[in-house]
Amino acid sequence: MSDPNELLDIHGAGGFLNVSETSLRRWTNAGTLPCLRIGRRRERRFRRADLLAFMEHQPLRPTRGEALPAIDAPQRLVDQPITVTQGSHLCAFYDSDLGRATLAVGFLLDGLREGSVVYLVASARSAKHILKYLKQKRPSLERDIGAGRLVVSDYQKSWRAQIKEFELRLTAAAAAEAQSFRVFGDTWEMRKKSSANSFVDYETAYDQFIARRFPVVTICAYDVRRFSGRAVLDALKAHRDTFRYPIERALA
Amino acid sequence: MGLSTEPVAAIHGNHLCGIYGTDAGRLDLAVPFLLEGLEKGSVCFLVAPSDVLKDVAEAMKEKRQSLDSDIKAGRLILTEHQKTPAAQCRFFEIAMKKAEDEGVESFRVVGDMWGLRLLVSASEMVELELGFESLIVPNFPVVALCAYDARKFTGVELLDALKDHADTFKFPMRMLAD
Repeated sequence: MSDPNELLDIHGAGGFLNVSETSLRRWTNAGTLPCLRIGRRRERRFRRADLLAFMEHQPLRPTRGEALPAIDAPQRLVDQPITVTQGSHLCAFYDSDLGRATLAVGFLLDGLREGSVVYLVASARSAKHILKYLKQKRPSLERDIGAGRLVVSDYQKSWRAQIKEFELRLTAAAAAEAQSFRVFGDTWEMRKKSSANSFVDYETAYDQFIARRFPVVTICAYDVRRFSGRAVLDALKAHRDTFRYPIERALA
Repeated sequence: MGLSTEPVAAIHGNHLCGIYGTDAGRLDLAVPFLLEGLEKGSVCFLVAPSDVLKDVAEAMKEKRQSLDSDIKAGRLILTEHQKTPAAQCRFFEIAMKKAEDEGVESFRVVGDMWGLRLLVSASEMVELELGFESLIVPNFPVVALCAYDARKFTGVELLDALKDHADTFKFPMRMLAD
């Protein structure tokens, strides 16, 4: 068994918690995670016991602007419902798979609870990871999927085909008396299938043909491990509605 | 693109991040922010690499004839980054304390963050942001704009910057430039 008093350096502690060194620096400076300082450069050392205690005593919700620690524990996912204006086309950013799940679960749960038809568009692997956490928050998830309240799909092969797919699905659901929709898209999957310019065309077309035409709230989730800094700036400019959304729901 | 002269609706204590993707975009963020500070009687700091200091000062001079006397009188302080985040925070502490003793009532800071990133690692950058947040923002009447060059910083670094500047979401439309 590991010695709880064993000291880990920042790299080891990051690996232990599965979080970045930046997050560790932020939490220690904020005083939420204890650490020891050694040597002339005052380098951080972490007791394994402190890391375990930190992991077990995380709040359910982060404070404003604070990132959720990327720890594999579903109870740390944001679950406070919020209201978003229909037609909102938002972007969100994450830097870990759990970050992606954090963003998706809160958003999709809100949609299911308010009676919206919700769409999760992501690779099979990403969708599986998200659904694992969603199911823990909503035991009736299989029934939601069976009844078409939650629709899970991968992106189509081109952005035009994806827009057409959204149009068909939302039109059909509206004809079946669905009153509102939510869409969570893991955008790297679409970016992989298109050039940078085509990807911008996709976002523009989505805004014009889907977000403005249907009673839908959309989150385009950007994996910052894949997208460049320039792409992050472009995403923020293209999704101005984002700034009306709580910051802790847009950054993970 | 022309420089915006519309003032930023900033209040003391705001610690904002701006993101730009061109040199002109950097001017769009920094120039009106600093000019507005000078007009309000704030002491303004521009912390950036030397070429950026020159570009911003030239653009400001087009809008404010008295800029040279502002610099001489210490109302506008142009300086490169200190070598470490701790030294940078110390620099602000000393300069702002001195200015307050001389009767200055407010400050503005623009930091072109790539200048610091050239000196320290990405994770050490957080030291400056957190040090500034805990040592400077609560103790001085300051509005700060940390400007990030989207051409140079990675997506992960920009996400960290947004997380460290929650105030930014109060003034979003003014914090993104070409």
